[in-house]
Order: sequence, then C-alpha cells, then structure tokens
Amino acid sequence: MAIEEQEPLFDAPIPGMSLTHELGARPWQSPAQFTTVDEAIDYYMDRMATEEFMEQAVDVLEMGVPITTVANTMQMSGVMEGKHSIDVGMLVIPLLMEMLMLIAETEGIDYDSGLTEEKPETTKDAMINKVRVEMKSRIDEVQEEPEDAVTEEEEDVSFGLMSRRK
Amino acid sequence: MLINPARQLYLNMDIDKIEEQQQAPSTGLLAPKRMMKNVAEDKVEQPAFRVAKHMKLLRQQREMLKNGN
Repeated sequence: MAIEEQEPLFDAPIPGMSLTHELGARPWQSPAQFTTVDEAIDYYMDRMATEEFMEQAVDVLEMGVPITTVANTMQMSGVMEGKHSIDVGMLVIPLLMEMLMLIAETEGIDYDSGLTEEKPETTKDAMINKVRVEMKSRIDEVQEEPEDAVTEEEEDVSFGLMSRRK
Repeated sequence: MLINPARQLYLNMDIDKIEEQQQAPSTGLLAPKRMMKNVAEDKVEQPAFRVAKHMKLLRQQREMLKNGN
C-alpha cells in the first residue's frame, strides 16, 4: 500500500476560533431558511436561471475552474448564509453540477467537469520534469550558439577595408 | 483529506437506473392495507431520489443539445 504524503493544511481554523462569537451570531448557527431539499432546489434553480448568473458562470468555467469546485463553493456559501443545512447542501451538489454543465453546453464552451481522478503529485512531478528537460535543452542551445558567433566574427574581421593586412 | 466531495457525490448518483414511478395502488375499501415495511422502502419519498429525478431531466436536456435536437 502506497503511503500518501500529506501537505500541511495552513488555512484550517485555529482551535477555539468558533468560540470567538456568541452562539447564534452566525447565520449557520440559526435554523436554516430552507429545510427541505425541494425548497433548496427551487432556490438554486431560480438563481441559476438568471442571465446575470449564467454570464458569471460562463466566465468562471472559461477560466478553467472545474465544475465540482464551483458547485461545492455554491452550496458552501448557501450554508454560510444560513439558506440550508450542510446535509441539504450535500444532496443538492449533483444537481448544481448538472445544471452548470447544461449552462456550459448551452453556451458552447469547453469546460472542466472535475470528474476525472486527480493525482496532483503525479501531475506536479510530470510538469517539473517537462520544464526541466525543456530548460536543459534551451541551455544547451545557448551554450552552443556563442562559439559559432565568435568564429564568424573572427572570419568577418579579415574582410573589412580597414582591416590589417596579413 | 477530502476537501471537495462533489466528484464522489455526482458519481454515486445512478440516475440511469432510476425506475419509473409505478402506478399508485388502489385505495378502495377492500384494497390491502399498506404495510409499514413497504413505507420505509418507498424510494420516491427519499430526497436523493427526487434530486436524481431532477438530474435526469437536466441530463436529457443536455443530451438533446448534444444530438442537435
């Protein structure tokens, strides 16, 4: 079994961070506005059907942001705003993804669904290797070029009008 | 650590295997009573099932777009 190297998570909340405000002061600590999945679906479908949302979604997807990330961010903001609970949010995510895909395909843009299995370490290593090989070949080219240039200059000097006679 | 569960949630929705809603049983006086164990198995009342039905509609729209209908 391969041991995965975990990167340290620096953006995690510090212990006791949730106690810096009194209980109930945050929207997600109050009862949710939409308690059922159906209500949450209606809320999101109404929002996503607007022209303004579609334009923004297309811009974000064109930039290469995966649909999984957009959908998760949307439901997370819904939880933070106190619109629905996190359980309802989890149930709604696949529907949000399907709707985002429909919007992207209606607008005819290429998008990243985020459904392919990610192997970030492999990708990073592959990219680093690719860049390393490319840099090495460029360095080799640069090192070879000056020698030729110098020899050409030496040859040119002998053909000038004011050049020294041999 | 799983940060974004969206991929797993999407792939777990087997919307192709959704069965069409069966015909409602008759509610006549002589009709058999509904057993409690059948109530628990009623998928239609599950929120995930309703989400899957909505997803199926959207996917059909997407497929129509792809096929140029």
